[in-house]
Amino acid sequence: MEHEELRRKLSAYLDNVVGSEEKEEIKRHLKSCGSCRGEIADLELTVGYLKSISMVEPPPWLKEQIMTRVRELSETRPSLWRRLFFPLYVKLPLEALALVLICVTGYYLARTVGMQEPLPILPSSEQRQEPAPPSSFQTAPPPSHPGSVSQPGAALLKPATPKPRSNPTPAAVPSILPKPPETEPIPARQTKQAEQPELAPTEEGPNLEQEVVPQFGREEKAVTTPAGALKKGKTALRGGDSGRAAKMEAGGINLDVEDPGAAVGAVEEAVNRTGGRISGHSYGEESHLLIIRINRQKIPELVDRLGHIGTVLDKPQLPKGAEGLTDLTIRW
Amino acid sequence: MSDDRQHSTDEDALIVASWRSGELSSFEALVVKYQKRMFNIALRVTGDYEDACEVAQDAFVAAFRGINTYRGEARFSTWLTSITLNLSRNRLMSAQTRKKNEAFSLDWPDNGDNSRHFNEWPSPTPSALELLERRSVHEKLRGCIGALSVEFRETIVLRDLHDYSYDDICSILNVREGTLKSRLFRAREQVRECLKRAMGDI
Repeated sequence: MEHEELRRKLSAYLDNVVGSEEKEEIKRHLKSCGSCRGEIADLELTVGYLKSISMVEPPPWLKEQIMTRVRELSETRPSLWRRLFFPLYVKLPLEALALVLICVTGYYLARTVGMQEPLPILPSSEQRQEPAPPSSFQTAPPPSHPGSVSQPGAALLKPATPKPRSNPTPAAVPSILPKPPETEPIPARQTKQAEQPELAPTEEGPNLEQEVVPQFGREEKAVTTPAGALKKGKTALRGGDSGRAAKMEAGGINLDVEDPGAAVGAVEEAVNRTGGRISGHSYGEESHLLIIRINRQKIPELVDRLGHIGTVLDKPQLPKGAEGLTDLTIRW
Repeated sequence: MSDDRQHSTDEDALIVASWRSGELSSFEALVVKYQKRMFNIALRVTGDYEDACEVAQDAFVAAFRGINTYRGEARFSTWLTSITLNLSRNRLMSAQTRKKNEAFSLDWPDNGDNSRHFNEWPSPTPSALELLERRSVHEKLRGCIGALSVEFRETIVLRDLHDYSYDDICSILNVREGTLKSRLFRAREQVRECLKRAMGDI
């Protein structure tokens, strides 16, 4: 080792933290190098001075001050964060499970509530009274007094009450659907009342709504019951003998697609994109049915979109300038 | 010396275990045992009595709070010293920044109060040396330690003032032994030069 390198090791040599070989080398060098001998003497003296510096007594209150702060700390409850999330190995799995449950519940609630939510836009009284299209949207003449309205409504609803509920056969549901051309044309006036018996009591002629509501109560309940979309679909499907179903058949779209199962997502998306709301569905093995509520003006757009998915066999005939919401069935 | 250290380590481990089980008096025993050392380390690093008091308090409170992070791999005294040094370093940095800002302030009071700062932070200017010469060797030594950079000051304080082993210092400062040896050599050399200038000869 050279002089400078050995000089740098003098401090460690003084502390006796050099290897035995280095130690011997430094010893040999010190015998021959006067400047290094002087330097190590100075270093020894400096370290001696440094070690001789006495410790200062801390203030007498220091310990008490520390203990006061520590006692305050130990008496305070652990923070909410610590209580909620520590120890992690216990609480983290539980919280993760709870989060999953909340998400799943929230998802199902959102789906159910979203389907039940009544639409805020109501057709105006003028729209309701305008003449219906000649075939499927044909409207019955307005009743002369309330009593006369309740009769056809009641007649329509009778078969739709408990009887269909008692025979739920989901797999067979789509196959028993009556085809649109075979359905009896139902007066649109009556179906409209069947659809929205309690939506606009102030806009509509008060007696019409009031007369119809009590009789449609059960039917409406059956349609909007939170039991699930399939149930709604079934209700509508069975409605070859119900006013609601008859109306839907009159206003339905028939689609011919290659793979009905695969087209479900596309059809639902088409409905959503045209501002429609799915109020019920029934997806069977061979055929599918979707019950939607949509603005009449959007129906052509919907038909156009559906045309991209498959071949539109039947579409509703709309009078020019028709507005407002209507129920529609899409079948494929 | 090593037997004493081993004995102290075992004793500390028992006290820490007792403190962990909720015995506050055990923590108090540790405060009594180490408050003087931690206070002096803080004092030599920060160079300010009041800062050292606060640092010592903060260090013990931090140790109390963070006892769950102490895994017992190092000695308790080593762990506590590293906390004290970190806090001292932070305190020193903020004090230096504050003083730097004050030095550039237009409102700097030019009423001779500067001398107080020179007492704590001797500069290599002749006036500072003149001040150093008028003091005793220990005062001059303290001034020389205060003139060191933080890194050098820490090594001198731990090794020469408090007799920590090289291993402990490496663990506290998180440096390798070679680095520590180099730092210590340069720090001692600077102190020696400072003393020579202050005293004329050692």
